[in-house]
Amino acid sequence: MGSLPSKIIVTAIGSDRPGIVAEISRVLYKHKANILKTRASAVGSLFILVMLVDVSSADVSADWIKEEVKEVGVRLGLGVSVEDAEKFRKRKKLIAFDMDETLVEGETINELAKAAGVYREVKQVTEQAMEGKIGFKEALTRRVRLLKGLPLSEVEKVKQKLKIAPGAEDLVGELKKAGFVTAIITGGFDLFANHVAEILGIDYVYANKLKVKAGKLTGGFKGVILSPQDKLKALKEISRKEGIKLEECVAIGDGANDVILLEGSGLGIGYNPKEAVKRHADALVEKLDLRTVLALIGVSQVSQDVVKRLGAGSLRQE
Amino acid sequence: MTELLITAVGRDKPGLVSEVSEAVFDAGGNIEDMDQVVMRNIFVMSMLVSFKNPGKPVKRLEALLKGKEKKTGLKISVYRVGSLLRGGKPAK
Repeated sequence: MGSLPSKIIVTAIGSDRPGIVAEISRVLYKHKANILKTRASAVGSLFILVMLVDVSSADVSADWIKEEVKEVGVRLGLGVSVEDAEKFRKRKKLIAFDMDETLVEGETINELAKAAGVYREVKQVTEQAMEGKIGFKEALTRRVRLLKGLPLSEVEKVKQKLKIAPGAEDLVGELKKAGFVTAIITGGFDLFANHVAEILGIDYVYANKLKVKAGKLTGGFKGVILSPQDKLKALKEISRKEGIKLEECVAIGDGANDVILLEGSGLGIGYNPKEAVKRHADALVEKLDLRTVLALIGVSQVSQDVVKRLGAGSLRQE
Repeated sequence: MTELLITAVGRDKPGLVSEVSEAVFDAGGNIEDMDQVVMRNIFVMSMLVSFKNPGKPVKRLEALLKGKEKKTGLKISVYRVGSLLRGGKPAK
């Protein structure tokens, strides 16, 4: 990732329970990283911890420490982020969501496959792709080809049955209230992404366009297939249009095809992430819990209070 | 429920938060609030710790912290929050 950060900010949020500070500080101690500032507070049943940590004297790389801290956070059932101190200072203004398994429950392509009677074949390819075992583009092409001949009326039925993920509506609503530009950037399909965007009031949609002929899916695409690289390109395009810097963007997703997007954005959040994603995300959350995600992004009052008390000037010391 | 305020000061080095919070955890305490800072290489920490059951666990924590003082060189003090709020002297 280029330059080596000498200071990182650890944020952990979740249900209050004994041992959170002990476990996270133990990992840092183990690697001789020095905690310069801590602010931790139980607010109702929620515990939030923010630490400024000097990793310049650590016996392993900053990335290594990030991994271990994230692991501990997940084990404790917390939402956790580990960011370079410099990046942390940037206020976030835009959020891009993956669709399948993030804003909606399940993989929509599997639902289409069920309707087309090719569920087993499609599911197999999906799983291999999400684990990063086969190329995203190849997997998608193969799966869509299996959908050939599915009538649009069936696609419509699947669309009406889409389940918005619990918490997604509240989260998007709060972020919009906070002035965020919102986007769906997905390898999934336009027919569904537009529908979800409409329900949630999302500003931009980038999705793969399914080709339709005589009221049926042709098994092909309209235009080019959105690759993992294209997902980041889409984010860049939106941010340019909106005059927002990439460091001010948050991306949230679960699959291997989101990795490039998560790494390229200011704050990459792995939501209920697949193995292939965990290492590449700045933050990990297991639920789209409103308070947790807002606090990780730095939007909620709780996290702002904590950060304020951590000291605005503190990140520049020495 | 008993609440204690723990303060720890001393020369900074890695591991101080870990040592003190480990003692709190081992004694069965829960950190409700905490601030920690390093100023001019001096470590300063305050921690509000709650215990569901007063008595034994508190005694145990005090004993554990004695050990941590020796190990880390920190000066650690334990106060009863109730007593502090009444303007009383530290219980220790």
